[in-house]
Amino acid sequence: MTEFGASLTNSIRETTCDAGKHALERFATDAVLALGEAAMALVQQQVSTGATGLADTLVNACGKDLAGTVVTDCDENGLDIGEVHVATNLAKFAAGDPTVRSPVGEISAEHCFNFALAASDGLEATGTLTLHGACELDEATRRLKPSAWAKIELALAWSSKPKETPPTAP
Amino acid sequence: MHQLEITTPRDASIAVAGKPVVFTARTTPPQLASRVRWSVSTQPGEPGANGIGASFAYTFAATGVEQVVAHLDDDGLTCDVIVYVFKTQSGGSTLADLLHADPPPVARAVASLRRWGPSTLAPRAAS
Repeated sequence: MTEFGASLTNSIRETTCDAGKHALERFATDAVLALGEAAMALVQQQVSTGATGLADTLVNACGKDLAGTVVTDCDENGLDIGEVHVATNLAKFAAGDPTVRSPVGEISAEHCFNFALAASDGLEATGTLTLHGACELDEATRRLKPSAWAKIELALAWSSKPKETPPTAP
Repeated sequence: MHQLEITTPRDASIAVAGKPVVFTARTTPPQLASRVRWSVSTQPGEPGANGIGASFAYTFAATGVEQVVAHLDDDGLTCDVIVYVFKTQSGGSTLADLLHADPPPVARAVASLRRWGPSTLAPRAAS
């Protein structure tokens, strides 16, 4: 089936990478002032690397892993194949549920990347980048349609107690 | 104590239309297996089927929710499994095949069927 295969590759890559870029742009305006150029460069690197990795996961899944997966059970929780989750509507489709048009729902994967932004005597700033990519059947065209979102979360920890420094050798 | 159990396929299994599905039962004691009576209630408009013995094969014709029931009449034992059948263009059951499966000709929800479960015990053995 070609929709699962190579024809999706470019659009999955573009969609996933765009989600990462947009998340970074929204995040960057104020963060660059607060965190500095060096920290933002680190986030930029995470977004770029993460988006590429997630896109590879989805491309491989849609191209090879999922298309050939034999389905034996009608599990309402869907299928998990490696990092990829497939939402299924198998029971509802077979039953003729009018709200369900396709037996296969969203095919999605999610990657999280933790990174440290800054650290001083009392303050630590860490972040998590979450990238989520998905392919869903477009009922109008009967083709898989990619989508993606990204989320950047910051955690700030502050302590009044200065960090202990290891004793130096005499 | 007498027992009847449908061992294959599992409840809520996937099957493909046009390929025979073999249903098997286990009984306690084992010699009762030859007396297991099978019945299948298919989609309206399709012929149902009955069989006798430890196993029973049936080929479904269309996408739908199908119920196969096993009976041990002397003991009043009944159990059942639901099979979700998909009519696919290639006759396979991969995700890619299922994605393009035909819709069912008639809607039928599991909730509309009386269920017994895949295993049952006799409250008392038949004399």
